[in-house]
Amino acid sequence: MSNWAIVLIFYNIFVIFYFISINGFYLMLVFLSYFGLRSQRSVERATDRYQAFQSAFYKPLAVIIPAYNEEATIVDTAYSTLSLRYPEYEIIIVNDGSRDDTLAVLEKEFNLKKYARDYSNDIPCETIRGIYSSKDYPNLVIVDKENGGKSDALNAGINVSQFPLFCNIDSDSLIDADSLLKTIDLFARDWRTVAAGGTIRAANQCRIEDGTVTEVKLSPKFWVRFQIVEYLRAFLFGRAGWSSIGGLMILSGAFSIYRRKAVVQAGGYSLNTVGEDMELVLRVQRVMKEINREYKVVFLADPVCWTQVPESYRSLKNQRRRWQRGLSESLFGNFEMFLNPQYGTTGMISFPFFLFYEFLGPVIEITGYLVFIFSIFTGLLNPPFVILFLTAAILLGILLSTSALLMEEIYYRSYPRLRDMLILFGYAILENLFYRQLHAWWRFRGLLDFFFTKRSWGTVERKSFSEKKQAVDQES
Amino acid sequence: MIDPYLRILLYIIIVLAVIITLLLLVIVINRYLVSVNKAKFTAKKQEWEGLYLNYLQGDLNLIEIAGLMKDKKRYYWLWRFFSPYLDMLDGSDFDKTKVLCREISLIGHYKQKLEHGKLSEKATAARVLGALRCKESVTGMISLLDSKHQLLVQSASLGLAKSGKSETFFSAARALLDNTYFTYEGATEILSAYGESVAPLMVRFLEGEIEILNGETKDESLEKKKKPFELKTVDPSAYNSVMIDLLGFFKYREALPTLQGLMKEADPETIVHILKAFLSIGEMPANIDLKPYLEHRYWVVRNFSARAWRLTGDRKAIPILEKLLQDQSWWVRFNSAEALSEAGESGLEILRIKAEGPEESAAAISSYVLRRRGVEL
Amino acid sequence: MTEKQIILVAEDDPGLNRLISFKLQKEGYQVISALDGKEALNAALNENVSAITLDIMMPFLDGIQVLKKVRPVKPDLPVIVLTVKSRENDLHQALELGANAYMTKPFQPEQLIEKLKQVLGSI
Repeated sequence: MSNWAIVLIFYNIFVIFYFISINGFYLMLVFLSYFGLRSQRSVERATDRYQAFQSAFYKPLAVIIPAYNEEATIVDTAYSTLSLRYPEYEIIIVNDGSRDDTLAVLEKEFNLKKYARDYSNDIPCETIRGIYSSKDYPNLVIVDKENGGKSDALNAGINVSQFPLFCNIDSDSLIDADSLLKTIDLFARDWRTVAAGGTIRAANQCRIEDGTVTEVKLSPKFWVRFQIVEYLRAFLFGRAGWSSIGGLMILSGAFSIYRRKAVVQAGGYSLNTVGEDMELVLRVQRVMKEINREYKVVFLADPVCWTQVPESYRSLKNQRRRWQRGLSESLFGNFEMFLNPQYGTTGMISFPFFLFYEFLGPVIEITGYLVFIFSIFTGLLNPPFVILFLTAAILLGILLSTSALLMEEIYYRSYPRLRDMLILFGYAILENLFYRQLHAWWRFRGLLDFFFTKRSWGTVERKSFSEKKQAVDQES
Repeated sequence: MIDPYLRILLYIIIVLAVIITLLLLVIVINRYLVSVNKAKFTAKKQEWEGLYLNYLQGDLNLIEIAGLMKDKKRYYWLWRFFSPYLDMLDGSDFDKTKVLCREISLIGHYKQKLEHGKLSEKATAARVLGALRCKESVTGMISLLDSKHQLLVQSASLGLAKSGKSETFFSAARALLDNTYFTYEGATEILSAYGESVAPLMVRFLEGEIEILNGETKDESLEKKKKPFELKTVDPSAYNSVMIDLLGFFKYREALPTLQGLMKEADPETIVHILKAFLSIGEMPANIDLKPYLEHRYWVVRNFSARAWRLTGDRKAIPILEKLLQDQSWWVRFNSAEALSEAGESGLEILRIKAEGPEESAAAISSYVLRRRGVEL
Repeated sequence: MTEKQIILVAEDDPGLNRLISFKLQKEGYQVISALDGKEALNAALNENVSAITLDIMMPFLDGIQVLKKVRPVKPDLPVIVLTVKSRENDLHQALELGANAYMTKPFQPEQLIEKLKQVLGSI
């Protein structure tokens, strides 16, 4: 038994070390993002925003919206994107072989007619059955194709659009009218930018009129409130922090903008993963490094994309399982970035962080809890220590969430009532009492999905390095 | 575990609890302060608006209103109040507003910030002074052009552009394109604020009479003879692109001969810019032969040539347009068909024939364009 | 004219809106203000306005959309469109849709009033 005891003690120490280090990192991210957000703020104050909004010179952009069985929401999304303020853009809705009336609904609302529009074959995708344009809105294009999944639909959209920039938004997302310009600004101000993203916020129960969020309300739904706190943490200090040191690895699929050329060079969205947005961001960075081109992936906190988050236990659970699986697939599909100094901060800091803390995290957390409990029963750890430690752990978690709430309060104040912020604080507390543990379990299941489902890890890489180089040489 | 560990944990817990409470307090207090502040600001703006409108109307004179509006502690609020008016008004109303801003020391305050403020304050100051079209701050802003902070270079360039001092145009262009990571369209955006007064200068640059050099930028009139500036940028054609785009934007007809001259030796990207400029100006030099461009190897050139065809109406190019109906690129086919549809009855006839013809892509695009025009097949 | 003519001022910047409204009132007109496209459309269709000064960049419905919906119903209603110089396409579109005149920002309010008088005088 004595050997076991030693093992257990070591494991306990390991878990404690893990815990201290992950929270240490998070605290650092909080500081980094505080300063990052502050400098973004001062840039906004000093930039001639009015002028920017009227620009005639911005690069044209394609907004690509993949749609599958979205007959209920697709019209709203379309209207929302039609009201965006941008000099020259087109909206490409890709109907990914929906079995419902998505296409019919669009046809009726927007007066569609078939259109002899051409498309490139830069990225392989499923057969495109037809392309339609709207008589009333000439910049609205509908692509009807055989079902191939979200990534495939996005790739089809990229093939159809020839514009140098494209924006990927989900079919149940709404972007603020000015969000697009604020994000594109990054591409105009810095030629190194290959990808950029904004903040995602939960639109559940907010007042939406004509595809715009006119009044932000705190959803009364239990599971939504947890997610609101989570998203504030993830965006306001997670991404803001990583972005400020140049180590951003994820952009939300719900709203992200890319340079078309860079994505084509990287081979388009991967069909082999459920986390195609993260996977693409990683791969684009890898490819840029390989062809020796300076690049930047940027997060801007101000532009907002509103999306409907899962409201039920079940859909939330499934979403998180899927996200963990997607994370794993992205990490392993791009593993050469791991501790590779060639990939700068992303390779040396972000990637290992995500691997050790986000990927392995659930395993360590779950086993940590189990071992802790076991150790108490076998008398290896005494109860006072455990209680105090857990209290400290919970408080630390609450501190991190409260920091996110604080940043939201200082910089954005989206929720008009102070009461809302206090409610969110309550949920920040609750979160650490059971939601985190539940979440860890979901992610653990996601990991199991990843390990025990068959797939090929190598097929993400479609072109060999020399082919890519050749393609680049030809283009320049 | 031993007692000291427990004590450490206890301390940690207390510290954490205290910090959390503090953060919460900050949230609550901040919310309260913000709403109070907001209410005050709204009230002030209303008060100022009443005074300002009467002043513009002439019912209130400068001394009277300045006395009522002057506020040493609220310069930022005053700026926020005036900024939409400054951006959107022109003529005598603008001048009166500027005089008022000077009288209440708004200009003085920001001039001070420009010289001695922190980074973000300098940037804001440049923005403010630019909106006020302040010519006296030009030297201050020029020195910011060499800053290693992109934000300052950007704000200073915009400030200089709005001040209307066209002599600073090339310094600003060089700073934006060489000292920052700005894309050329981002730079064009800012430089467009200089207005048409810089159009003649740009023409001279494109003619080779002015070059841009890396080195000290002096604010001297470029009327003096050739000032050599060395081109140090990564992409020399970026300067050309910027200037050509701006000449198109300003619809500067006098640039047409220069643009025509550039077209001969230009690389494909530049040709595209020139064609776009012609389209913007709405006119093309009469003796340009579009035919070689319609058959250019780069599809974007073919595309814009087809679009630019309507500016010449050169009937000799029609057979080429007809050929382009089968071009690889959809955009080329579309614009060629559009061009033909504007070529009178003979153009329409070509489209009608093609619409029924054997070549698929030509047929598709011809019938599409005819339908768009509402023309019977 | 004993009855005051009603001008609809559609402009999303509240300060500018009030400025234009104020000046028009001093010239003897009655003014209805709209701060976004929906309000503007509503007022244009349901009120007895004599003319509209129409900003293009407005929330909810931009000036072009408003014009599209108003023209079929009120083909003779004078409309002066207000926009920024770089939005040329908007200008062309607006004129094609039947706007009577346009002004680009930055603009001089006196000129706007002049144009308004011209456009009203010619009916």
